[in-house]
Amino acid sequence: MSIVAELKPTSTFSFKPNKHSVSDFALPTTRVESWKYTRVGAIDSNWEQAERNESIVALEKGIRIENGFIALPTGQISGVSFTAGKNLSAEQQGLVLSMLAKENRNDVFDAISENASNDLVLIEIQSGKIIEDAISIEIENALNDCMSTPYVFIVSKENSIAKFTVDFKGKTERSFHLVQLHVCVEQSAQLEIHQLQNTSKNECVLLRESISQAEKSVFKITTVTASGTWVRNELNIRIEGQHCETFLSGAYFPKQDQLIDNHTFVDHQVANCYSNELYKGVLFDNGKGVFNGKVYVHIDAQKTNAYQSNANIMMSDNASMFTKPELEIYADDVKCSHGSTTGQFNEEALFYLRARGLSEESAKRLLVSAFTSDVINRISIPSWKEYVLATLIQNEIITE
Amino acid sequence: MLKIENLQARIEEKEILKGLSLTIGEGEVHAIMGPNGSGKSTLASVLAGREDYEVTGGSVTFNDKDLLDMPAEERAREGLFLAFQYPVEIPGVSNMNFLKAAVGEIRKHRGLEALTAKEFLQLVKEKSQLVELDGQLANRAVNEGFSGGEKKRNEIFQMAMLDPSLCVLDETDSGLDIDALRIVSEGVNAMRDGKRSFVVITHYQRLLDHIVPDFVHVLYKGKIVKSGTKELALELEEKGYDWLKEIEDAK
Repeated sequence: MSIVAELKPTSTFSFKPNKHSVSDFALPTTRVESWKYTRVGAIDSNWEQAERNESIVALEKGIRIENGFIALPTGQISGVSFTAGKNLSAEQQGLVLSMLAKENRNDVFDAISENASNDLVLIEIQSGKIIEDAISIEIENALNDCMSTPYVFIVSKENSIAKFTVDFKGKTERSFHLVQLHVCVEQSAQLEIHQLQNTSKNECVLLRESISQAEKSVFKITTVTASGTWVRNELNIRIEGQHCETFLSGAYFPKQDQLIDNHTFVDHQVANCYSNELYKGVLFDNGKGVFNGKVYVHIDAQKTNAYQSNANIMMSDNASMFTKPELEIYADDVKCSHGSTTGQFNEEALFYLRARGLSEESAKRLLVSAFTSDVINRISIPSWKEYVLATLIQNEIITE
Repeated sequence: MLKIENLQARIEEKEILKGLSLTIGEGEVHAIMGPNGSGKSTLASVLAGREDYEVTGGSVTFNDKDLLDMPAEERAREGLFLAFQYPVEIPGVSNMNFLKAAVGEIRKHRGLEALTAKEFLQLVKEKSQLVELDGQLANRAVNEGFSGGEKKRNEIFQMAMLDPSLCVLDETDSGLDIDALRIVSEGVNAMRDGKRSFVVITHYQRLLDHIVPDFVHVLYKGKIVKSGTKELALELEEKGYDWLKEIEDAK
């Protein structure tokens, strides 16, 4: 076990919910089904843990996470409270622990998070509040070779409406983000999370997200991975109350030797819910993509309407895509569909555009942006959508 | 303007053009007619630069430049326009964005200043009226959900926007009803200015009632076997292609 020589909790609060020790587990190998296509080699390294830095430049209307340490906003956002780990009340501690208890992957990475946790924040959207402006979460590593292990908890209380943006920025030569995001969307609340991952060439990301939805809640999430050498997003959504709506979407663009893996799990536990999943990938060079979309419909989850789609375009003969839709349906009165396609560019369309004077390169980028436009159009925050598009343009993935 | 000499081309292992020669002068309208499988659409594809076709011999010069040496986009920038027989639907790409990019590239190549947003919209308005194209269509994705007639009108609209010096119309009349045929033809005729040249590829004579050619050529088995004036088209309409085939096959 060389991933961290010696783990030391750097958080200022006691926090070890599952009482795991890292040495209880081995790193997953490709013999483990959920890691079949993703080798952990890139993250199996002696990462350093950063020292707490009190001088992180905080944001006014959001939180900044640097090397895993969290700076709360300098300004106030009406209807939203931010509580650092050390300031959690007994009740809040109970809440955080109950959220963690819902998800126990029981593996080495959860053990690392638990044992090395840098910092924790609990964000609560107060009940009945409508938060107009998106709340930003900025995540960046500033120390080469560091591993950051923050926990973020979001609770959307009853009947509240809020949106978040999560911005994974790249700065270091090489580092590892192990980020835990646990979300609870209470009854009739609406929550959206829009994420962009644009980490630098040698940064690795393992993002573990656990969402639970209560009755009549709406949850929407978009994840655009524009860059990152090794990125794995594990998004687990538990639908625990009836009449919920869930939209999960992603777009990923591995280039060079990058690996981008999206593992999603939509757990329909109860009846009368709707979920809609759309992931699209464009793979360049030696890029590798993995999509594993599990939808589980429990025996009591009648009238479930679950839709899943994954489509990919290969831009190079050397790129590879591993896609696996996984539907397990135990109820007998449901509407579930899934589709997966992986193919080449439409050569006819490419020629058509070129015959109008567009270079092959700009024609391709136009087609890439067309291909992923339905995912991008699910970003409901115009300024964020522009930012995402600008990043994709800068990374020479799409054209202006 | 365009000089095709002894052009030979094949797709996969099949020889299609077998020594085609044709010269088109400035401002001229040439109709290429011929039975199915004679190589009409291959000629259009080879001129536009479709890479599925392999040119095995001959030459094509366009405004004194070697056309066959240029990639498809450069041919377009140099002023060649192909109106597709089957325009492609491209979901997600808006007609407007695509045209803006195309007009931008072409103007840049010709050393012209980029159009402002206002000038571009003015041009769109003006040119879409030419083919009675609904403003709504211009805002939709390229050809997506367009009827056959709308697709062809969109081709002519794009042609007007890009201001080419040589227009190749590949069976633009196929699938058009009488009204659409009239609209498309009027659009083309409005672009005849004595300088711009046209190659009108068609199986039937009826398009040539609307777009009156200066010359008519008959393509058969990959070669031009007969050339004449517009009267030749009428003769073909009346007698069909069989009499020509018989003469040629007897050779």
